[in-house]
Amino acid sequence: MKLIHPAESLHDRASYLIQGIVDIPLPAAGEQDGWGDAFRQLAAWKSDSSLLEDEGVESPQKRIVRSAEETGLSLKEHGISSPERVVPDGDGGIAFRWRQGPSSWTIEFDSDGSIESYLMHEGRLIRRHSLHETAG
Amino acid sequence: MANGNDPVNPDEILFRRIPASTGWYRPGDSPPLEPEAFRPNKNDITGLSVFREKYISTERAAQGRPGKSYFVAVFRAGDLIDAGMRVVPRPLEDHPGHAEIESLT
Repeated sequence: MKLIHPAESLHDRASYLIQGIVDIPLPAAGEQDGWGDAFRQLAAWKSDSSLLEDEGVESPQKRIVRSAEETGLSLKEHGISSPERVVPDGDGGIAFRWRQGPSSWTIEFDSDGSIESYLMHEGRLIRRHSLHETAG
Repeated sequence: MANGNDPVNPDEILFRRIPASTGWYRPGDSPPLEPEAFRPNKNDITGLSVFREKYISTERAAQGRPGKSYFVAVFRAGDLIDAGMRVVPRPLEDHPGHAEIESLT
């Protein structure tokens, strides 16, 4: 089931997305929060889309990379540690993924501009939230 | 050798090519493989592409676009079938060993 939520500001968006991690104890961001690596990865994709172009892999458009960057900054401001992995989803989107034992939490920036966060435990979906771009 | 339309035997070995640039596979990480490596994309209409070892070498399976690097995931068809997935032969003109995992799309 997809939920539509009118989160307008970046702060609202991040607050909504991090609801998914209340069940897994992610480390709080410290001085070495690792967000620098994530932002460098995103900047590289934004400046050279050919880095990811491959058979069956669609590079994320710049607006999707920007959305990931902005949300990442907001998550960082919320004290969330950097994702363990930042990967393309293959369909022009980007996924941030955190892991803690048998649980994983993913924020996915889809190519259509929607954002989805989901919590998995031992391979099973536990919780999912979606944000959709507002028209106009 | 058959033309690629022969049914996939559960004992067959299958290959799945994973572009190195995506970071979907990172040796040394735990787990090393991200689910995106096996997630059908919008072009995978009928199924997820794999190659059959009986028709193609690992080295050939690892050849994609010029200048790009790839990992090759190796697995047994029977393990997919046991998990409820269907693996069907889908030979291509230049790849008789092409098959698809149907139940993911």
